[in-house]
Amino acid sequence: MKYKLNPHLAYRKIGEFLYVVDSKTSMLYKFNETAEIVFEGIKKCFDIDKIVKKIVSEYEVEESVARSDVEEIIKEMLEKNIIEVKK
Amino acid sequence: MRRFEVCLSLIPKKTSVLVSIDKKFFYDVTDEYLKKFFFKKIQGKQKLYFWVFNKETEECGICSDNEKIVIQGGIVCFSLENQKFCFSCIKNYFVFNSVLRILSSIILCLNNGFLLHSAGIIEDNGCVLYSGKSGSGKSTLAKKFDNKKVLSDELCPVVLINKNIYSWPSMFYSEVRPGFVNDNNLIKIKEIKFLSEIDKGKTISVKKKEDFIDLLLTNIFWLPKNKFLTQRQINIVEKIAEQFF
Repeated sequence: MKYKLNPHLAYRKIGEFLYVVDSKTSMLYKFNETAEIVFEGIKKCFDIDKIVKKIVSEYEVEESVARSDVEEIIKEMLEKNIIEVKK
Repeated sequence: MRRFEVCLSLIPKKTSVLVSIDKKFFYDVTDEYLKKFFFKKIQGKQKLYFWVFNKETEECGICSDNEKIVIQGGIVCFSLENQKFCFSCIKNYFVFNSVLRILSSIILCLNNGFLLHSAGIIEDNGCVLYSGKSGSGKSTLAKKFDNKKVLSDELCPVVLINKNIYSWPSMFYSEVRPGFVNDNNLIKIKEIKFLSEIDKGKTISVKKKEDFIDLLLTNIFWLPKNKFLTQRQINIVEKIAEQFF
């Protein structure tokens, strides 16, 4: 399954965090490094496997841990309407 | 309908809006305080925007969906490309005030600024903004000062001009009506402090730029619906944080 970003998002990396604002609802979100990798991956149309691979290569974590984290983040992003399923 | 033109000062001596509005409607939706921000003539050389105000609540029919902000009792349309604003609202002070908040916010954003949920207090040769959400004690704090020293107890304008950050008496207030002398000047912001949500009336110590940015982003008056303006607001917050750290 692939995802895409909500087209109404405005974002900027400031310091170590990525700040994301949904311009439709004015909701502000602050992403840590892992959430940022997921966000950037979705922006580049990566699937979950590719995002997990990127996290495993950048941080010394087991694939199962990375996958669980990515799935959790994606679930939260979907709930908050930051991303949507690509049809 | 008898229309007339008035000049709304949005950044003192720098930016104004020429408003074309029905005369009776204007006097019905403004009070004595709000009228202080409207002038008969443009004061000196200023950047000018144009605002056609319609009495009826209806869409202008020209602007696209992402250039429309619908509020209860009114519609705000704007075309950034043509620097054109068309606002409609019912004859109600509060709706008109909401429209003014949106207009101010858009124009401040286009000029390196934003509206900040804060109480602004004049101190020595400048001012200090005490920022916080609703219920954090902005009005309580403002009540401790002579109202001639209060810029607002609710929303203060903030603008970055040549690496200096300024505010000025705000059009918007909650419980403390600012009693400023109408000299219409920019006032340098010496500091932005943040009110604690836990200890009402107390300020939070902010030592890191990241924390300052977090708090600013949480407390600015966000513009809804327009991605370009929202992106600009985030960028301006970062630029303003850089001036303090």
